[in-house]
Amino acid sequence: MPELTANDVAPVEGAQVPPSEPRSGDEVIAMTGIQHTYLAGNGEEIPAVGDATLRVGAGEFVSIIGPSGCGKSTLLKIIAGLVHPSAGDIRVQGHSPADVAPEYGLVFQAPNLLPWRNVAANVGLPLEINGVGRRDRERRVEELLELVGLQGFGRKSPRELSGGMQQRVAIARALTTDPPLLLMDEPFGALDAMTREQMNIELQAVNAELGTAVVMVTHSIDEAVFLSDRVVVMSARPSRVAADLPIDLPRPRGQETFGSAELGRHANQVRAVMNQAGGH
Amino acid sequence: MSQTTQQLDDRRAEGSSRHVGDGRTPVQVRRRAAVRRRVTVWGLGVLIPVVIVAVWQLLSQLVGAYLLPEPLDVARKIVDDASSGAFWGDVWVTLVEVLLGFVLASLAGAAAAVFVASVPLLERLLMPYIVGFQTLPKIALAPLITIWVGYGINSKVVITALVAVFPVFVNVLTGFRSIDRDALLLMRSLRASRTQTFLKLKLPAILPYLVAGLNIAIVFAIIGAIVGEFIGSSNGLGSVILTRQASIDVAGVFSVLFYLSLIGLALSYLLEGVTRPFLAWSENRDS
Ligand SMILES: Nc1ncnc2c1ncn2[C@@H]1O[C@H](COP(=O)(O)OP(=O)(O)OP(=O)(O)O)[C@@H](O)[C@H]1O
Ligand SMILES: [Mg+2]
Repeated sequence: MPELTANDVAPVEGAQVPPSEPRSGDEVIAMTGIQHTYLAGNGEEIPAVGDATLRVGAGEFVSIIGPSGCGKSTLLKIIAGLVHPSAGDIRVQGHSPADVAPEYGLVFQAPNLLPWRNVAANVGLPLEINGVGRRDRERRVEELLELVGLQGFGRKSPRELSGGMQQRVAIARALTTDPPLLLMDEPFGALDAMTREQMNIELQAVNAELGTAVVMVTHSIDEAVFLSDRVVVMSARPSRVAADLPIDLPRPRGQETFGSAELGRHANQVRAVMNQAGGH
Repeated sequence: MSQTTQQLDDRRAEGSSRHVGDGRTPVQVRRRAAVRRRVTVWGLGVLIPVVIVAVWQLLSQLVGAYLLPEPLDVARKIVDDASSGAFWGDVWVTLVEVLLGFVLASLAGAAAAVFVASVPLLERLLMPYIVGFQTLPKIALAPLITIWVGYGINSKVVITALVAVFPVFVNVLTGFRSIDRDALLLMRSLRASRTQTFLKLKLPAILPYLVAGLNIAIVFAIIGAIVGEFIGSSNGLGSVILTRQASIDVAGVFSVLFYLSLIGLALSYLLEGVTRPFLAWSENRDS
């Protein structure tokens, strides 16, 4: 299977690991030649995803970056089984999302909390829908609020929280069912730079602690490099995977990693690939 | 210090943590400002009716008490009506029409909106008719309704419901349309059933819209009931207005208007009291 890697597009120094090789163990996501064309209201065909081939291993952190409108959100929805691709093969946790609904948590750009529920009830929503009893639910919600640093905030209304705190609630909600996969669509796009770095560090801890595989769409190159095991660069619409760059920065990565020369080197690589792929 | 500069100082002091000139803390200043605001509201609350009555008295003397009765005459009539059993009978008839029509309109309007919103194609197909019917003055249908349903209470209830149903229907439909797409996507991602999505997302989301619709509907219902009684009825406040008009009892008509606004106020407050606990989350934080 001819896979486009960084080597086809730009010289990559120090990329010994074959790119789309999962970091460890089983594959959580395996998609080959995924295409998706939307049919607009006026009958016009919009080829969003041209050809996406991608693998994500258990516990791996993969970022997707690419020009606006290139089909990143579409790709996430395909993984989530919310959109069925026009062509190609996809397996999530070993099954086609169309047959067996995959287990995942979903985080959007907006926190997307239900304003009539307090924080705890928002975090507990997935459990409620799965029919988990109140007692178990409360215990689990407590654990998660602690995980995202919001213990004691359970009874607050979402609008009493800052944007960053709301997004933490959304992440807690996505993790309540302990999914092996977290799908995030520009989760920190609305946050200020400082809060964003803080959230990046916390998300890294969650990924390491729980071993949850993460696929995150982002527009921030630094964020992608900081968090990821691999950064997947998509070309403009109809998109294909232009490059799949391994990020071999040692973990855990801390505050000092932002602005480090190592991160800068990787970021420049990503930037070079993006320019060649005709994005941004 | 003059009154205005004092106020300016207070306003500047609000939200700042430093002490103001005369040693009062900003909190004290703010509390005093709040007290002053309350006094102003009370003052105006007394002043406005006084001015209205004075202007009314003046006008009535200008145009003649036959056309515009003096406030005192109207007040006397209001007291008279309050002690008349027949009058309370008419109040009761109108109240029953209003409430029955309102309940019917609320149920039908909300149910129709839920149904239309759950079938996207239906909404698209029906939209032109809905808009068309919305612009039609429903009151104009009242004579037809009396032909179809007769002159009894039924026709009044139907007319009332017809007038009141649209605000409920349109508001709830707007509520459905306002539901965040990402919130729906979230429910899908959680594999919520249709019922779960309805109960946990859609219903709470449309509630403020429903209540807004009900608030308009209750006012419309009173209009509907009165117009229904105008068309043909021997009891109810609408027919009382007509009888009094025939005998040029202007003060009497004013008295009925007084009781009608009282009914409107009472029903509106009742509705607000009943619905408020469900809407606490959607209220403005700072009020
Ligand atoms: N439901 C839809 N119907 C029709 N076209 C759609 C639909 N959803 C997305 N598209 C189109 O498909 C293309 C890809 O959309 P998508 O949201 O996946 O892009 P994206 O990479 O996430 O963009 P952004 O970075 O701006 O979030 C866009 O051109 C968009 O207009
Ligand atoms: Mg997107």
